[in-house]
Amino acid sequence: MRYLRLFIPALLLVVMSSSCEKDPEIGTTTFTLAVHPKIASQDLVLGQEYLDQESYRLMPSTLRFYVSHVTLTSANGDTEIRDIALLDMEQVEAGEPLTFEVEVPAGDYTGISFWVGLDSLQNASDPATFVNGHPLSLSTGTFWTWNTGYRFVMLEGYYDDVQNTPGPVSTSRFFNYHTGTAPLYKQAELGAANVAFTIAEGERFTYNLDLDVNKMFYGLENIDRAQGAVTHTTSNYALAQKFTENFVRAFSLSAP
Amino acid sequence: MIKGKVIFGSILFLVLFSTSCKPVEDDLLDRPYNLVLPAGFPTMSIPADNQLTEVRIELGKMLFFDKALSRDSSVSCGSCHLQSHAFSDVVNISSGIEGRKGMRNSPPLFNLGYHPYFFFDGGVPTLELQVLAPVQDVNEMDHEFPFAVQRLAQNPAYQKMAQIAYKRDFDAFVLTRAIGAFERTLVSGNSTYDKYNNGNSSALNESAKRGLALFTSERLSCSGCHSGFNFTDYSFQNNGLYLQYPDSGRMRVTTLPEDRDKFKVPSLRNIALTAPYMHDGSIATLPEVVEHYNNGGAANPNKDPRIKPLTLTSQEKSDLLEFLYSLTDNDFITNPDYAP
Amino acid sequence: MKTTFISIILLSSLLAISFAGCKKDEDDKKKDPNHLGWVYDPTPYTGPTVPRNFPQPTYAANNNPLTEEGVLLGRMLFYDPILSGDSTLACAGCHKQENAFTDTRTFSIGIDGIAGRRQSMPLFNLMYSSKFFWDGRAANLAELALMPVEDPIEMHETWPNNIAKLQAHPDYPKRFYEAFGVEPNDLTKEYAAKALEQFLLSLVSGNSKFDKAVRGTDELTAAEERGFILFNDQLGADCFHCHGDGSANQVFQEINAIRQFRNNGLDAPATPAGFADKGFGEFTGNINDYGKFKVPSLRNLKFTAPYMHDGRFATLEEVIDHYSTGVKAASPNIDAGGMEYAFQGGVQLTAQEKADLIAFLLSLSDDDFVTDPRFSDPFK
Repeated sequence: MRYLRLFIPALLLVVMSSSCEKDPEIGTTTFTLAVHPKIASQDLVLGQEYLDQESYRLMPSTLRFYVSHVTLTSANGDTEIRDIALLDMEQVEAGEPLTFEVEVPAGDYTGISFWVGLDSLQNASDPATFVNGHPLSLSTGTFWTWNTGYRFVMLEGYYDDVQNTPGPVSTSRFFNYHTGTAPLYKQAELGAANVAFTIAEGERFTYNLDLDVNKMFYGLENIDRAQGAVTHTTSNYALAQKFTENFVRAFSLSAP
Repeated sequence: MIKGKVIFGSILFLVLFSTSCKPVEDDLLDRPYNLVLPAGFPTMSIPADNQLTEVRIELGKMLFFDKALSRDSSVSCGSCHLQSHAFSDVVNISSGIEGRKGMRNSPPLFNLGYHPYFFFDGGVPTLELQVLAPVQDVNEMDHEFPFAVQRLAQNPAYQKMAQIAYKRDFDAFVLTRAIGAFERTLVSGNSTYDKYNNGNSSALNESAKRGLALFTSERLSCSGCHSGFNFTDYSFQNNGLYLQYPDSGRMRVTTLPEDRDKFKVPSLRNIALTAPYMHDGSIATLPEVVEHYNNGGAANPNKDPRIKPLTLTSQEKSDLLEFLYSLTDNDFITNPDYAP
Repeated sequence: MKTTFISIILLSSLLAISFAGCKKDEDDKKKDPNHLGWVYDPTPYTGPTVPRNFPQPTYAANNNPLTEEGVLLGRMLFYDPILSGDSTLACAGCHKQENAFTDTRTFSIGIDGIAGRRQSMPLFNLMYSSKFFWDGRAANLAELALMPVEDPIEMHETWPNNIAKLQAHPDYPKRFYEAFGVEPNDLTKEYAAKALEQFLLSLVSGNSKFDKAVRGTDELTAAEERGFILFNDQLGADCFHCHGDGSANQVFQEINAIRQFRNNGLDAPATPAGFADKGFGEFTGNINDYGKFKVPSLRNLKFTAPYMHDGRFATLEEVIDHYSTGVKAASPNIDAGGMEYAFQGGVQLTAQEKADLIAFLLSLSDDDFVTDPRFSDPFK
């Protein structure tokens, strides 16, 4: 939370300066990608304890990840969004979704795709050249100072390694999944979550996705936290790879 | 804490005011700095956004020696990079704040503008980005960079110099650029060997000349890696320090098994000043380093094949050492331009 | 690396275990019929190793556990002039037991009548160093043991000559076999070095009046106690920063390897290059080490005069005067941490304080050590 508090003035600055930009073009509308962090059907709140799908207690304390190259597909040609978003649960109120708002043309779309992380050019940015509050600036805490590049996904928290413990969760067992580096820049595998939609002119449209922490651990390959609780990517590349493959498959369409 | 926030807030409001469409008045002018390179050194490429100027370098030097960079204001860059030791440290592992210990030996700082990447594992590509690492490293300064910037920005002198040097408020850009600028001026190329190399054939004594011949010989192959004007090819090599390393070196960055236990070849300039030696400072003196290479090192699977027993005679060892001692640049460690 | 520093006691007991374990299997190997009943079956050393009030030794003997046979052989080599060029000078010639194995001459004289340039160093409690000699040029005691033989000013002999002499000797080949299992034809200087290393490590001095007082079998006088307090008082004589504090470190020498070489402000040339003797810097080549010398033990000072690397002080009074008012603050590379009163010439002791301090220092003298028959000339 400390970043949020500290950089409220900085955010004001960003808002003020962006108001000087050109007005939205006629025919465009506001598209919002809204990601709802969940554990199964429950809303995820940082600092709260949950039993995961195998009844192990856990308490996530950080969830933060980059979304880039969001593309809305259409029969008339794709609309690719150049902006990068850092979706960070510390920056929203509990229970609120993580949102990425952009202006797109109104019309019929056949689906959506996006990537988790930063492409190789974005990832080679110098964070000191961005003002605080920018997704690539140092204020996000995502830049790896000892190595080139950014952490694409950060999931941290505490866990119990015995099922059905009564709680509170052991704070001596922490998990720390920090993924990054070019090979782990992956497109989200939306599958059935990729559906057609229509954006009417002048109306706001929100595409709602759930992101399930269960699926990050029980996915393509299961991750036993007791066996692999910490990776800074290069410190345990196999674990980072496993986590990444699960993470990009953890999205699903939100219930209406 | 509350006070800090209020101050930071007001600085940002100040920013809003000062950026309101009116050009900053240049009542103080900065001047380009002409970096004089030693004879025989190639040109140094300097980033377009950080060309050397007098105020940039002066600001960088002040920041280099400012303990406010660390979380508890107890250590500066200069705490572990001592000019008297060619900007390296005298202990195997330096102490960060609260006496914390990292895992690698503080490297000397000179001729950095020629390095293609930084750290023993080469993880960081530019001098400017390198500044971030020790500030944020939990075992060094343990300071969130934005907080360090925030604290330093309260210094009116820094604000004024930032405006003059970079035409902007003091921020992370200014901090990383200014220290990078100062560090690029740390050029060392006036050793006894350099005098010899530049035409004074009597600068080296006979022993050192024999040592030089040994150094460049195929039998010893020292100059296979410690090559060129800066006595390094910046490659990553394993020199058989251990059979098993606690620190995987280059592999930490690339994750490639062939990079396991490999570390960036250091420059041998000023080598007599930079004890202890190796990435972890595990060898205390230069004669012991020579002894390590003479023994051929441990049978690490990634050891460079040129590292093998050398059967040096005691005369050859002392000749080699005499040559290595001739790489010391006493002007560099006494240059007042680098002192705080 | 510290975990590999196993105490000599541990090494000896390990040795004992390993020998007990393979005694039967190796019985055949021990007896070599060609050698008229020579037996290689060394007995672990039973002499004094580390006094109870000393810390864990930091010296790691390289695969050379102390044995009775090895220590005795080393002692014989130490006292035998056979190793010198003209068979007139043994190690013991300049390292005399009655002087805690140092020399009373400022500079010892070699076989050709030429004097050296540094004071002979006393030899005891060597298990806390990783670099030997005033300049640290020997990395271990085996290396140290080989150097004086080939030094043209000291024993002025070559090791190949010495090996030939030892091989032709009526007694030594058998003793080398008994200590190391080495055949005469395979004898090398490394075996002589190992034997000498063992003897040097056996030279333990820990039975001074101070030690007895620590163990409760003696008592310090009032003056000695006042001296001890001064010794440990940063506002007093401030000795403990470099010489052990007498509580955790009762060896009274610096046992931290990286702080064993210091400049105590004896001379103040204009630049580091101006030191007549560059000391540790001569070995490391580092200009920041010029003028630094090994911090010596303060035990047995009663026997080890003259003092300092160049023997410039004949008496302890002169030494104390140096630290009291004679320190040269302008000395390049002066030890900033240890010599913190250099700016005023030293710690400024009164006559009474000096007398007390000397009384304490002399209580660190071990009369048993300089007369112990286990360390004396085996040929007498």
